[in-house]
Amino acid sequence: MQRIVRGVATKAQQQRQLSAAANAPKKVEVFIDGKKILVDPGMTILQACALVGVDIPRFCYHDRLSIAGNCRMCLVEVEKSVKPVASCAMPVMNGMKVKTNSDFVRKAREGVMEFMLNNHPLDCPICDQGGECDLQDQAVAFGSDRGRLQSRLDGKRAVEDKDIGPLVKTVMTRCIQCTRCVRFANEVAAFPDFGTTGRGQDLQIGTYVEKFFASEMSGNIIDICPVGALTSKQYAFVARPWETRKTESVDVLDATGSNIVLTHRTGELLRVIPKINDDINEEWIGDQSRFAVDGLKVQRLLTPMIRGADGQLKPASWEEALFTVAAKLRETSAEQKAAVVGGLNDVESLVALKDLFNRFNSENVMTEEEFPETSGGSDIRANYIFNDGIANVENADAILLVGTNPRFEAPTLNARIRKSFLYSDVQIGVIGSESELNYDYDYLGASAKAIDDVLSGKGEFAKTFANAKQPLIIVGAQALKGEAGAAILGKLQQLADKLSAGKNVQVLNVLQRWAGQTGALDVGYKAGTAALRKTPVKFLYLLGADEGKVNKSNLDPQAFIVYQGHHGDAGAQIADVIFPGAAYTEKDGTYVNTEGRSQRGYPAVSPPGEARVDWKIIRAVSEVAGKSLPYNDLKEIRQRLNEIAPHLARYRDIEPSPFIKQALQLAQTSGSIDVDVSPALRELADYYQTNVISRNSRSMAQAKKAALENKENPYAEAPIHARL
Amino acid sequence: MSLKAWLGIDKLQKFQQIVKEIGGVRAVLRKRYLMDVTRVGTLVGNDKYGNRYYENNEYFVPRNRWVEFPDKVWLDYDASQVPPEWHSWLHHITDSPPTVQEPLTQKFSLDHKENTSIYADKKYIPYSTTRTKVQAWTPGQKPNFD
Repeated sequence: MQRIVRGVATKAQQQRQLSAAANAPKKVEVFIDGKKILVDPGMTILQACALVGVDIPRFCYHDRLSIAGNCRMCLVEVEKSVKPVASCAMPVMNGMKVKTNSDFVRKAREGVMEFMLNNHPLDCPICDQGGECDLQDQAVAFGSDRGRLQSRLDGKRAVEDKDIGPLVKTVMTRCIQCTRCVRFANEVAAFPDFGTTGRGQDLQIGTYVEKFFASEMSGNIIDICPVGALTSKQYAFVARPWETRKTESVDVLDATGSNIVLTHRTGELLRVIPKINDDINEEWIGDQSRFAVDGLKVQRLLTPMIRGADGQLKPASWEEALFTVAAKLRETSAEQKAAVVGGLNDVESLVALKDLFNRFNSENVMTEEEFPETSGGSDIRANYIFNDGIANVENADAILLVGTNPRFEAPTLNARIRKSFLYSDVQIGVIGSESELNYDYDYLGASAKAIDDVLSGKGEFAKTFANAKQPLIIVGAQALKGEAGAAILGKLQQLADKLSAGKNVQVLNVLQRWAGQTGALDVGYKAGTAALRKTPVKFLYLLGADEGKVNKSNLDPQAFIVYQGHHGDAGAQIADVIFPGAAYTEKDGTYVNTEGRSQRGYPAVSPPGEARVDWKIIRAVSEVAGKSLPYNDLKEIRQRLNEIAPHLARYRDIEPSPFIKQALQLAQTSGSIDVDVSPALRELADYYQTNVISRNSRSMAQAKKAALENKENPYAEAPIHARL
Repeated sequence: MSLKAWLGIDKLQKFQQIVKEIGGVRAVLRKRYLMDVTRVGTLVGNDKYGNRYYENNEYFVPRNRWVEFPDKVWLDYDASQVPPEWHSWLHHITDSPPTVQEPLTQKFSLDHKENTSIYADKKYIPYSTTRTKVQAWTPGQKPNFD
């Protein structure tokens, strides 16, 4: 079954490729080190070399940024050319003969490297980039064994460090002026204040006037910097790359499920860096995903706790806690039990908790995040996932954002919108608030009533949207809450149906805010805690529910609350029994991102103290309560996942969601949609602390403070976004 | 060599005498149990901790002076229970015991204390002063970023 579905997907792709190949212009013949290769015209020599596996040394060239050609490290010899040629900037020509390893090329590289090292400090032993430094590696591979610099006479260049905020540390003397960070800031992060001043020896990178690097993607300049000029403040002087272990995992701090690499040593998590995944995050991650991990080391729940007779929570043993909970679970009747799950949970623990409640004849399991229950609601998967896929955002020629600010809700997805804004004439419309987005958009109003106008073709944007070849609606999950949510969803379904006719797009895409939300809806959780308010419950199980949607006033006064999670926050504060659980860096977990792609996270470190992996805790509760769940290890619970929804075990694939037509038939078409759908995250300061991990992170608190202070900075100005 | 010595009877007589001086077979067995030797000597002095110090120059030098610990410590005796002035006599650092020659004391010198690390309740247990890698939440605590 698995194979068949994959086969279908690749067949569609093949057709696309075939049709693309038919229109492709004639290939160009190039010889690289005597090896003949046919490449597309317009390709650079460096890219052509990469095709035959010849790696050209480079500093300024970066796959995902524009070409600068200023480091000169990629010099190659081209036959009939007197001078060496910068291969990153030179397009291939028919019959070109390139030599990448001749004496001429080696001498040229050696010269470039000598100039580079003339003005680079010899502080590798105290430099954070040491061991993962491009300059270090290439100096060994391509440099000379001696330099001619007479520092006694000439002196070394020194540059004052810049203060660009609490996240990125600068040591500008180490800068080799590759301008990767400048291009990243201008193209991807849309922070045009970052640039160069001066010329030649005096060229400096910086913000002219000292200011905060006001971007939700600022951490990525640490990764793209080929030397140690831009490093992480959090990771400063912490470890060397050869002493650390790396675990490839999935990020849970936003719903895109960015791929990350967790660096850890001696059971301590040290940093997070992105892992390349062209389908999801390319090679970027947001600052929260990168820096909020210091929040995993404070305010942790390390032992089970029980609220004593005096009303105080006191540490207890696992045995006491499990027996207390199991007794309450048994004695409470089925309709008086409920479970509420937060947004950071893995599917394993969600399935175990639902199974546990089902064993006690209760279906009262719900998520904190709301979603319409009427008109198909979460019963039809196409209603709540990002149907077209994140990568397809780039192909869209008109995008309508409803009640979402992707810049702060999903920074890597927003980077794609920004990319297509720069390189295509995509038209973007926004319903919600006029928030800080890093592209120009047509503002259609705060009220969802503007959807009606788009539907009826009223207004400039509605016309371009109706005529678009690949229209895309991105609706924030937050806009779909409450009574009006179902009506808004219904309206958007009508709009999507109208636009998708005869096109190869689904149009309607829901952008979730929580990494665990799609997974929870996939395994059958009810969205929203409205049911709790109707009938007060006596036994409430909170699984990482920390957003304060549930409090004592919603419940029976005698209600018994169990909190399972990793941080002491809103949930733990009201609990009668606390089970210490594991964070996403500490457990094997399956996460379904907003496009419905199931991904596996791996543990980098073990849960601290007496904390345990979440699904195992629930399994233990079930056993003590006398109704053991039928899985004992990870393999068996994954088998159970596979039974419930086979796509959960098909990692990395998107499961296409049919029944869009049926969803439309079920859609609620009546009801007022005249509500304000402004997203909660409107400006940069809102971005940093949105979940329990980042709320406890020191660096995120500092970044938020810096962003707020930046608003007072008289030199900070709103950037003007121009297409390239 | 006398006949007695040749037959080894003098050894038996010596043993009989020692047994007599110690105070009977029962006392000998007790002493062997506590000290692993059956030695007698002249009592040179006592200290305030109840230790008794003996000398018998029939034995060769390091073994001719010894200490007998008070009954209350029983088997929990330890070399550190000997105060420094008697330690120097026992180890032949001085010729005369502190009962004969008053040891030099300074007003700042502290009282002798034995090494208590053999007692489970009194021993020093080292602990780490570095911050733990992960800090626990205590109920009611808010994150502190100052």
